[in-house]
Amino acid sequence: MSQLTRRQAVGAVTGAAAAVALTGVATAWADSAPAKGKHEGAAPGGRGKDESFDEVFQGRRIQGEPMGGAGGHAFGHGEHRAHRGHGDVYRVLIDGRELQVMRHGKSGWSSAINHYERFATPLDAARTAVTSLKGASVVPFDPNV
Amino acid sequence: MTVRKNQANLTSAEKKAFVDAVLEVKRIGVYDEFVAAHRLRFALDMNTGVYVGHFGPSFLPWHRKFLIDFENELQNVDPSVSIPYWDWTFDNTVAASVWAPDLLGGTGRPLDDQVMDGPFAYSAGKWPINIQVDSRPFLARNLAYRVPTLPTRAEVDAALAMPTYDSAPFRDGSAGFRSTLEGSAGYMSMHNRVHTWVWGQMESSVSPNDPVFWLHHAFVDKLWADWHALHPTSAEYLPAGGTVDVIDLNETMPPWTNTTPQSMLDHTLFYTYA
Ligand SMILES: [Cu+2]
Ligand SMILES: [Cu+2]
Repeated sequence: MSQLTRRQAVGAVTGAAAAVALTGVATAWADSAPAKGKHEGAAPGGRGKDESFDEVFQGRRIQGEPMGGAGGHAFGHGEHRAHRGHGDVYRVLIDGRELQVMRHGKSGWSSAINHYERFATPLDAARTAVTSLKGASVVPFDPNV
Repeated sequence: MTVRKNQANLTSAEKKAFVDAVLEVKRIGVYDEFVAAHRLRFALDMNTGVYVGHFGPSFLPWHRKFLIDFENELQNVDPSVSIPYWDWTFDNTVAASVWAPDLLGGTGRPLDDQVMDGPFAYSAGKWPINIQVDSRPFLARNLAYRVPTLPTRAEVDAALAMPTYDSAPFRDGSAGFRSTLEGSAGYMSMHNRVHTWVWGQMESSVSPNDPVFWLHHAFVDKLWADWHALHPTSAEYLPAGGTVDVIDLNETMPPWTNTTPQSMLDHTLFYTYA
């Protein structure tokens, strides 16, 4: 069995095959200023997955906004990422820095910080990330690093 | 021939050789390329809807190849080294030898989850976290914090008893061995639960920052080999072909240009388990 060397493997990651998807991810995940808080807080636990949120949780400001379909107005240019198969697109910020969140079919949400869990809503993912961070900041995803 | 051993059975010299090789691969910058490749694969799996490394049937062959590549890098440093495996059904407490200072070091301190002992503690100076999802430059863990227990042998045996490798729709919630072992058929179960039990970077998309990643996935890989031995007449991998957004048996798994699930089915071409 021939083995790919590390550099071949890493080169393939950043090569043409992944370029389209990467461009979408890079564009979508570029950090930007947080949106103004324009949504009042809702009752805990009563939030649907498509709702926005803006609250202070354990001293950290967490914000979320749906970006797909009719909801894709608030954060600007991110709606055009390649997103076959997952449907919902949602943006979450912690103290203004983007926390990558993803929807897994019908089984829930996870984030770059809590990747192996499933959350009912992006708000749950944001709150758990705050707990995980213990005061550290999110480092937004940059595929070039 | 490479023999992968249970970490609990390693001699002191074998532990030191493994740790030294990992530190050297880190020092020359190669280790972080593996962390970055895993983070990128996870982001693509999540955001393109094409499941390659995670959430689909190629979870097992993709990680098998990822570990083979890493093991080759270790062996470039020291040909005697192999990746040990951590049987988390048996060595399932924070007191297990895998967390001792002569192997991986223990849990993090309460303040910031920083690991304070062992060769990968930030204070030892050889393990900066460079590929990050948060700003902490140190290895972080909080063993048994988020979930108190690891998967049991009974849960593993129930997964091993399933005769079908994977089933439609070949993603989250599919019935069969792969999805059950990965943990995507239930909340915080099996492979996924182990990541969460360790916490810190192991819970994130940059999980290979914690060297326990390799020991965890070596055990997952061993369970795949055990499953095959238990079900010699089952299809070793499914689907066989024609499935959209899923890696079929003879389809190439990116980032590699010539690696298919078929090419990963027989682990004895690369290593055996002791
Ligand atoms: Cu992985
Ligand atoms: Cu894993």
